[in-house]
Amino acid sequence: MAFIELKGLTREYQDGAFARRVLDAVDLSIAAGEFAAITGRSGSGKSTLLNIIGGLDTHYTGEITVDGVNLRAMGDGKLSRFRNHTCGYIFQGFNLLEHLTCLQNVLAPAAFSGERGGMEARAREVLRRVGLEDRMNQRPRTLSGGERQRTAIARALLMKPRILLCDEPTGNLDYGTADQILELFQDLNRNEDITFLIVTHEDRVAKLGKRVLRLREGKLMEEAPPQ
Amino acid sequence: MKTASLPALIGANIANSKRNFLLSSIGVTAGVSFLLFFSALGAGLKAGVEQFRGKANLLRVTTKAYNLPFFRQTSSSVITDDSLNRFRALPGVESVGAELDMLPPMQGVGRIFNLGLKTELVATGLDPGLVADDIPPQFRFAWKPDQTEPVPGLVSRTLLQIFNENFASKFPDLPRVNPDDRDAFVNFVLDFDLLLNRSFLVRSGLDAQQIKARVVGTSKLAVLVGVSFPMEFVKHVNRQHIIEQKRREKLAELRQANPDNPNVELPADFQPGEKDLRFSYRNAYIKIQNPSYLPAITAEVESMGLKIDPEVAAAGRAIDAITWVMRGLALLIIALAAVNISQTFFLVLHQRRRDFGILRAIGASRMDLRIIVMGEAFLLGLFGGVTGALIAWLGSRVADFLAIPALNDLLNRYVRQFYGPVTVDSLFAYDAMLIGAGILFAVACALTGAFWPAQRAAQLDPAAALAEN
Repeated sequence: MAFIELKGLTREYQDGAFARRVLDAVDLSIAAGEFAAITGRSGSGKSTLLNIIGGLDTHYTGEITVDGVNLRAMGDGKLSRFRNHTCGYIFQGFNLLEHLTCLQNVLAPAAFSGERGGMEARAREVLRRVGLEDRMNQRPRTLSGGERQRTAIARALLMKPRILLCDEPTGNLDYGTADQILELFQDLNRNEDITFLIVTHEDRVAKLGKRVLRLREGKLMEEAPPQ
Repeated sequence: MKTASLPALIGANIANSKRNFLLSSIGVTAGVSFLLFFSALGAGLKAGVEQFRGKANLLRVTTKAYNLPFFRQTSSSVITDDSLNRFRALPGVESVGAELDMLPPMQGVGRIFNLGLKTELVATGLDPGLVADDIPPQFRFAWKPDQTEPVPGLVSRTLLQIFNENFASKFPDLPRVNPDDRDAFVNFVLDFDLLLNRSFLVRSGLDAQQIKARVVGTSKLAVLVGVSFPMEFVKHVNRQHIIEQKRREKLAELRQANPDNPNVELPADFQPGEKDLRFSYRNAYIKIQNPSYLPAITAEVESMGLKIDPEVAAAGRAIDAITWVMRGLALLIIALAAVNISQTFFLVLHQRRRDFGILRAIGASRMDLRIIVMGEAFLLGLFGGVTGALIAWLGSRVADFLAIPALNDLLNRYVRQFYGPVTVDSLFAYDAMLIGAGILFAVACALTGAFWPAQRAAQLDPAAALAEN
């Protein structure tokens, strides 16, 4: 059974008097632990697809189920809990809270988890896991791009998510740093059985995916991974 | 933020926007300090008034609800001998006395040192028991119809103070008279003639009558600008005045009925009716055993349509009214502060759209965002409230420091005669309820101001907010 399943997923944006269809009856099945890359041109709907799967965007038609649960049936509270416990987000622009330290950023999801105790130890552990044990009390503006992205990854890992939704995660990083991040992703995918959905327009990132999905004119097409 | 909790996140947010936080809290702080300062001042002044009232064991009962120039309210109730008897029967009443206005117009004619003086006079009659402590042993405050000595009179201590400060200080020949000295008039003889039915102001029509009088002492119960005489003397004068007036009225009536008989006379046995000779008193004085009887006696007196110390009650009402006006102003300031908070939060919300989008992405629900915004507002209100309370308290201390010495001096000059030595420590009365209410109000104001911004934050589209990067 598919872990993530999309059926007839359609998303339109209102552009003045016109409705612009970004996703057009998209069907997709992702198995648990899969590493899938989603590619396409700018504005093709890649980020929108990720936002819908992560429960951030609810203005769609069609069905989406994650681990057998229909996201449409969830109210805001349950959907927020789903984002908190099941999904982790990693963005191209890192999206860290600039006024918090590295450790505080990583701990932030715990504030909405309802879980008490042990979270700080867990945050330190994931920071160590991404190699930032000596940067815990620094604020994001003092970190390099790679360190910022690793902070974002640590934040995404805090609640032990089953899915990591990555939107151009290496877009703002230099080549070497991007490689380190991608290695970390592969490691997490292999050893912690986390399902990866990575939006990218870089072939070398898409190459890592066991599946490559291309969005073109609202339709999703399966492609062979680049060689 | 060491622990992972919403309060910690709220604290970190506030620490990040200290400037906005402080600016927003200024209005709340000002409003609350204003509110608490004037509420405490009102409560302190009222407590002071009540304290004086509680100290008094001599209550003045009057028919007037209040008595101000151009603004006099009189009650339909009157104080009669029956009223005095009812007062005497009340529990806790030690003695009862009355004050009666002298009816005929009169002038006082006399000499103070070399200064000849003729003046319009107001006179009242006082029950001797009321002023027994004010009379030096050399004198008696009493009157009998066959009395040959001058009629004893008492003057007001306040009048003497006015005399000392306004006349004696300007004319070195005039003596200063100590109003607190019971024996002030033992060696300083102040005799004068009382000219009844003579006035600069009204035409009496009755025959003038000259009576010798002497000031024997001072009393806080003496009429303010005039002389108070023994009650029996005033009753006698009033009775004669009424009889003479009624005789003249009756004679005029008879002459009108018999226009052809110019020699018509009053019947030899003519007397006014008993009703005409019944007096109603200006004030009654009730001496109570201790102030604990005050509430019950007040209730009973008020049930008779009379008032106890209405000036004290009026002062209390005036303080209440001024306090409420000040509270109104304070509430206006706080309401404006709420508007300011609202605007600041909308502005901050706009600046933090991305942050709110991130929080939604990592699992914050709409309710969580509401809690964050309202939590920040709560802390802002709490900070403003506590700071406002502190400023109000400090302001009170400064006001006390500046005003208390002068106030105590004033009280000892003018109020001491009524209530004995009084010392005021503070003009303000703070209590936990008042401070708590002020802080709660500040919090409520901040929460009100932040309510709509919190709603707006909750409705934010996270995907759109994140896409704005």
